[in-house]
Amino acid sequence: MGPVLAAQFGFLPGMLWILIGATLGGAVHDCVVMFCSVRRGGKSLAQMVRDEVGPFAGFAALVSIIAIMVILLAVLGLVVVNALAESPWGLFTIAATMPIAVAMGLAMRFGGHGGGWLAVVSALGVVALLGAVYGGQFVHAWGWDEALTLKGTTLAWWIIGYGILASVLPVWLLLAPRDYLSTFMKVGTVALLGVAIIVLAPVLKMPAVTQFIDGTGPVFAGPVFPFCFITIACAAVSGFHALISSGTTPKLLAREKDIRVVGYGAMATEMMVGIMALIAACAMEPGEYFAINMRGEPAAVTERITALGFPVTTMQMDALAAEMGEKTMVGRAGGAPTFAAGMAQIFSGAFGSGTAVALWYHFAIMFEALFILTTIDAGTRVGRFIVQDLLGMIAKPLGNTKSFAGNVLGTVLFVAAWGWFLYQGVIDPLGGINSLWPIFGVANQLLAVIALSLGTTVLIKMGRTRYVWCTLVPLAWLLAVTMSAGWMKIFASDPRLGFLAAAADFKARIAAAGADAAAQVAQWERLVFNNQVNAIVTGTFLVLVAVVVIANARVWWQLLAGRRAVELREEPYVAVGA
Amino acid sequence: MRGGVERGGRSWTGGRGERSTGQRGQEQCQRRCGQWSCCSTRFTTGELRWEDWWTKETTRGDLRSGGVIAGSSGFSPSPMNVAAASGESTNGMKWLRMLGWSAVVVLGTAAIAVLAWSRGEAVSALWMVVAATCVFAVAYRFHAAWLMAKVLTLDETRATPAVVKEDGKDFVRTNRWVGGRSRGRDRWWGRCWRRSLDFCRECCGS
Repeated sequence: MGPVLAAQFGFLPGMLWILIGATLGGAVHDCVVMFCSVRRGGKSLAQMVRDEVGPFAGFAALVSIIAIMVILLAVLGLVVVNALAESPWGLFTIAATMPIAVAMGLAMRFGGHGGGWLAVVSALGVVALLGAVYGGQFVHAWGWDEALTLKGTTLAWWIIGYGILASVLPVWLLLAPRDYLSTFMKVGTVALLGVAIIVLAPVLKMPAVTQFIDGTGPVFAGPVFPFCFITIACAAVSGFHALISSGTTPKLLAREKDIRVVGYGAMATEMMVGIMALIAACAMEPGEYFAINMRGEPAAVTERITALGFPVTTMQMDALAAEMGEKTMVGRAGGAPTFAAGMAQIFSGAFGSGTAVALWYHFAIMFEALFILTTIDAGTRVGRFIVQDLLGMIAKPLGNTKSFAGNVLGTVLFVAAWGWFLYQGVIDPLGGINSLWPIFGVANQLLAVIALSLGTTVLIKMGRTRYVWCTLVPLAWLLAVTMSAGWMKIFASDPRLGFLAAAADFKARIAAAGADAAAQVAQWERLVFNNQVNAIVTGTFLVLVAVVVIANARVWWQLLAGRRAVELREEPYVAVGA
Repeated sequence: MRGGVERGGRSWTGGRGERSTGQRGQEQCQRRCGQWSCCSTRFTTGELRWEDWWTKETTRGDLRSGGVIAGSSGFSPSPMNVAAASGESTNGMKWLRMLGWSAVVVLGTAAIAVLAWSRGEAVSALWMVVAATCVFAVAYRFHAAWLMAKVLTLDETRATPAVVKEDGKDFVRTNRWVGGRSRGRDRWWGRCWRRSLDFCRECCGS
């Protein structure tokens, strides 16, 4: 979604950052972390920081990782809510994936384990999924409209409940088959999109650079530096990859050489996906793009966007909504609906008539929501383990990942944390994306900073000081980006941008409001509180990461000045075939 | 010993870069990185020279199976390696290859220039596809190889955790593309689950 949101700056800043950031930053970051973890028996990022830098830095890294995952899951949940709220068709499709997955899980579990059976079940699963997309359009005819048109808040509760359930249920029943399905869908859809873009060769209607680089953008506030660079994360540099590249993936690599394919190649592929997302967003009519991403009354929104120089009418938006089979397309912030609409237009343009646009749109939404839900349950599970780890420090039995009570407690604590941010984002009248996405971006890149400083330490210890700039340059750039972005989000005087300024702004409004606006005042009071929490969260991230970086820098200095014995905590060497 | 590696490391990974233990390590350390301070830290680095990894031949001699490495004969150079070692005969190919990669670089630069200098008029998205594809190709071919060989100094002779600790549950040797053939149901599920973790990183990219 990052590239889609960053398209408000025009296609050029996003494109350059994706191309440069992914190759010189993200790929290096992923490879270095994966390499370190492979050499250390598949240890996780926090464990490696503890071993190589020190226990204090390790603890700070662990806390940052939990905090970052909380924000990450909340933002992803928010994107799903924005995509599925008031959208019976989309909700029907997503709800249908669960029985399909459970059926697949049971079939696999009790049906035998031949390779043929696996293929049959997978094929049936994919067919059923496509059937669910197709069937969604009859929801209206079946009279299920009422039941499936949920408000954002209701949907948020459903997702929170789902997170708890998914984390406690056995993996084989729901998660594994659904993740497996969504992997198929992902690869297929991305390949299809690539073909469609080449066949259709759409024109980029968004200008190369828009006037919003000064920070007045309607999608989210903030100037192109640093906000373009924190908005696009997974397609360029993403700290979340450090969690994946350490711990799980290294335990699966058969040879060190595979780091090139799995670390570098996967990141470079993701760069291509990011570019495609950017193309999908920039090939739309800019007016429609902005209208989809702005909250408000359709008439007011279209008027404002037209005044900004991107003509669009309410008629046009209604036509778009009708075409996509949705009730409205205005104010569906979060990036997913924009991406889905862009994809639908490209698909239907490339492969036949325009009548199928709605089908393509819901296919794209299904594909995105499926993936996000996959991340939510996987992330909740991983987060639960970390929380239980910490709980184990307080009371031993709670740390046992096999104990049911410990499981539930860890899950509930973790889900409550991200659920709170999700709920606050949903009820935020400005559209939670505006405040949560930057925190997410900052948090994510700060995780990358932690990983890159670990990489620098390891390179120095390995005697590779000559090449230390490979990790040091992206590290310095990300540190500059995240620190300035975090600082601006907290202290900027523009209430759209700075959390503290926004809190002060709402306080002033409360003071000015009369007695007749009690409901409004209650909402404003909540917003004051939320903004203060956001400021504290962002500040905590900055401090935590500064601590980790300083601890690393101290180690670098000691190593280079010869004041510290070089001690690389690698696993002992074992020869292949030995 | 290790004839292939000594001939300049036919594999772009190749070096035996590890904690030096005993005499073998000492000897390696002196041979491999005489100009390096790393000897004092008692690590060898297995770094390869530029020529060793950047020509195409060097990537061909990768160690296809563990058995070859384990044997005392070192690993066998592929036909391409032999051809490269004999010199002259591949010069034509080399020029062609250099020309090809130069064309990719020029094309990518041109595509980025077209996009960067467009003001007002609409540009085709194909330029962006071309730019990204060229960057992908050049980065993966050169930057990745350089990173692996010179910066990280991968060691093909070193067994990975998946090999050392293989337990069929957490540590599983997996084909880098597909995830390997599954043997038994538990493995399959375990792998699906872990692979989904690998893929969940991608969702935020879309």
